[in-house]
Amino acid sequence: MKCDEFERWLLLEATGELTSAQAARLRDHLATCSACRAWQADLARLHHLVSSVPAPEPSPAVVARLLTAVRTARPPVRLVLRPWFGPALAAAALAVVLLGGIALVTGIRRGAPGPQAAGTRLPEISSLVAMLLPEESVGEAAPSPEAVNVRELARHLLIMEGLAVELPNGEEAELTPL
Amino acid sequence: MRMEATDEELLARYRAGDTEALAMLIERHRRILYGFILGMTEGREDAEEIFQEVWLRVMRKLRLYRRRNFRGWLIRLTRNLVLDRARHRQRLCAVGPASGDVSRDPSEPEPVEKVSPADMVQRQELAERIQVAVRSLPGPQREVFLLRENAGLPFREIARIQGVTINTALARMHYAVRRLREALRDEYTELRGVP
Repeated sequence: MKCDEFERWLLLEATGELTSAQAARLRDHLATCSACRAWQADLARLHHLVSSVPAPEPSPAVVARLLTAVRTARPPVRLVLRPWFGPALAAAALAVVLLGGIALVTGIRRGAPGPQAAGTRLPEISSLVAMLLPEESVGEAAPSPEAVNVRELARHLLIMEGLAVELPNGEEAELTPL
Repeated sequence: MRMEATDEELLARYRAGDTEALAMLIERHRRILYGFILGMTEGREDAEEIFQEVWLRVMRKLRLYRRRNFRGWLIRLTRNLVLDRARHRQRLCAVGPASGDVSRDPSEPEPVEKVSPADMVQRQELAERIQVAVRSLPGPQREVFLLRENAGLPFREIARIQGVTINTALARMHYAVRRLREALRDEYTELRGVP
């Protein structure tokens, strides 16, 4: 390894970014290399020079103005979900699904029955199917009661329109071809 | 003995509505930040304007802060502001030696410990010589030097801030030290006794 590399290691040593093995290797090198020791002394002198002079500061007037602005401004607002907010949000989602489902069912009944009508409402049907399918996340706890309700509702809506059938065990619904 | 609050604790207090916590953060980081800004811009007026703007941005953008390294985030934010300003004004201190307004406003009180007037003058002169020497460095080298010596950042962080490899950051510091050693030869000679 050349001295250039050890000189860079000396920079890293000052910031504690060398591994212990590298630090040991550097010490061994310094014991035998006067050029690198001179570089080490240069670094120390430069650091001493820079730290021996007063650090520049913004003028007191600027700092005072800034502190006034800070003290009079409103701190950032952080949204925190209240304990009641989670169930309320789930209830709202349920209501949206319910209304959407009713609109889908009544829309299909009013229009041409059967797969053709369903075909024009594929986005809505897809949404219901998506709600029906179990979440893919692995390692999650059991679904919340709200999530179970939403899935159950979606399943019923699909069965009502003949887009799914209930299996004998009653636990799963299966899509029939459109 | 009471432990000093960490940056993260002060940020949490500020988020909870304690504006004094942000004032404490400003006090804590002002020298580091201002030294960096002054080194990267053309004079006190520019530097003070940017210094204020940085903290106003901190107030506005704090919700985006997700890390555990407030100083690094602050320096990044400052650096972006300095670069934006340089681009906007076409001064581009990063492409060549700056003319350097390094004079201190004589109306300002000296923020240093008690020293004799003669010592104070001497130190001030030395500070100005160092500042001129640092300003004579090419932009990227100057930035590495300021981030290391002034802001005290490790090289990994400096490399991340500059968007370069750690070897490039080290090479820039290496170059800066060599250049400064030449520029401050007399001061180095006076310091021969320093290990």
